[in-house]
Amino acid sequence: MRHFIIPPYLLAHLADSAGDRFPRAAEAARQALRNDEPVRLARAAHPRYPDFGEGTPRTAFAREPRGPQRTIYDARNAEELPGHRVRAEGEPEVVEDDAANEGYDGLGETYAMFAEAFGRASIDDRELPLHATVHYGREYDNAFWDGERMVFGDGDGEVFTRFTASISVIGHELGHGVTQATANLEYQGQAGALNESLSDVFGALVEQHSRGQDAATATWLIGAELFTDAVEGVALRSMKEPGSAYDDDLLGKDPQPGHMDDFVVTTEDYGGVHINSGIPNRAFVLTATAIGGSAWEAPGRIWYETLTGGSLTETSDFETFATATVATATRLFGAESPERAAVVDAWATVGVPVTE
Amino acid sequence: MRVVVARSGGVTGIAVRWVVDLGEGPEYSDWIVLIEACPWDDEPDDPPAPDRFLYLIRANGRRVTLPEQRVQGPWRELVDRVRAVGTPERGRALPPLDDLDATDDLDTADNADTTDDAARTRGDDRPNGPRGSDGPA
Repeated sequence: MRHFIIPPYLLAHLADSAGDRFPRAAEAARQALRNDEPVRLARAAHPRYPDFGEGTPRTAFAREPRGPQRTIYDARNAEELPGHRVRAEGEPEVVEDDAANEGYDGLGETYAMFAEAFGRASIDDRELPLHATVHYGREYDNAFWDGERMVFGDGDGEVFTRFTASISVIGHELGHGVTQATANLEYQGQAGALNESLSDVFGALVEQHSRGQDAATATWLIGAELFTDAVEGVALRSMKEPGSAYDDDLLGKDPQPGHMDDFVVTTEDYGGVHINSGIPNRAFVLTATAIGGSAWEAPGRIWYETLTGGSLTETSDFETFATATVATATRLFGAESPERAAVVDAWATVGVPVTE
Repeated sequence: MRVVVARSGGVTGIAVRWVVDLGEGPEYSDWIVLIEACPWDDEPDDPPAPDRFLYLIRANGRRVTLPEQRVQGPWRELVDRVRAVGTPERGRALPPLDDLDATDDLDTADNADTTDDAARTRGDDRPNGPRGSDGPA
């Protein structure tokens, strides 16, 4: 079996984009990809989820992700999907369209984080092509995952700028796709808040991975690029200090709690899924900062394997999820490990009981 | 009569509410036609979709909850008109929706606004009630 220092998806990137400046590197990458084709086809027959083994290094993935297959569409301010195709994998940047190019790059960064940190081959771990639509609607203050694609609005220009400007938001939307393909947590109540929190975790990990930041130096902000200068705030959410992201005359104060004592009961937003996500968000940051280093390594792996490991149901609540993360940490790192202790301490700090 | 459009959810999680108080102006009957054209009894039971907006609409003693994908046809006309006339109020400091019940009854002579303005947005005299009850679910 052939093994490359450079993973196949990076080779694919080189083959596509290095042509102008490094023609020989691009050709070499294309050659390497051709040589590897039979091997990669054979690998595709392996089980759907990679077997990491017990604490094995991440080079032991059963299968290597091949690289993203991105297509960007432009809704031209209508609300019809997918819109007009403007850029596909390997094609040059779209002239004078920052949203289209940010979307393309953000999908690539998200694919890279899931591939390098978790060995995951796209949203479904089966190389699902990544589709995104930009310029959706008029002054549309939102981005969402519609079950098949990411959709981004331009913002109203007064409170919000274009939603592709934030890599953590792009990672957040793709994260919803990963959750849908795995535990499929229902988007309501505590399961919905977990669904939201996992998207924030993955969004933050995508940003940190792309910037090479560790848990201690990362901002842990979601959507730090989205507010206009007119808003008194730093981001949509602070995973590290829920409730501190904004305090503004127009927007009010960030309503996120960071402890179960402040859990918000509401009928809006499907039971406050974007509010109560602050509690598990903070638990992840506490875990990651206690363990130290890159958050997409041990902490990210504990959360990711809990999501994909099959022990959750669509209606799992905070306590079920917390208990499952402790079990995952025990399996990966051992009952006496500092990683497991970090997880246990984090949930205790935010007031979520762990059943053992 | 009061018309309320409350939008929650979206990736920002920042709620927005538009409130319009209608008086007996010349546009009043237009509003009634618009409101009565909406299928209030056909509340959809769609499963929630990630990061989509959730709309709660109240008018003339009725209420409905709609995911944004269902805000089409007469609903879209009503929502767009309320958004065009009303001033957006954002954030969780808004009074709970149930506090608006008192003035959300069927339109009668008792609570009809007597100003000549066809539509008047709510001013700064709105009640600032406590937010929804807190505590573990």
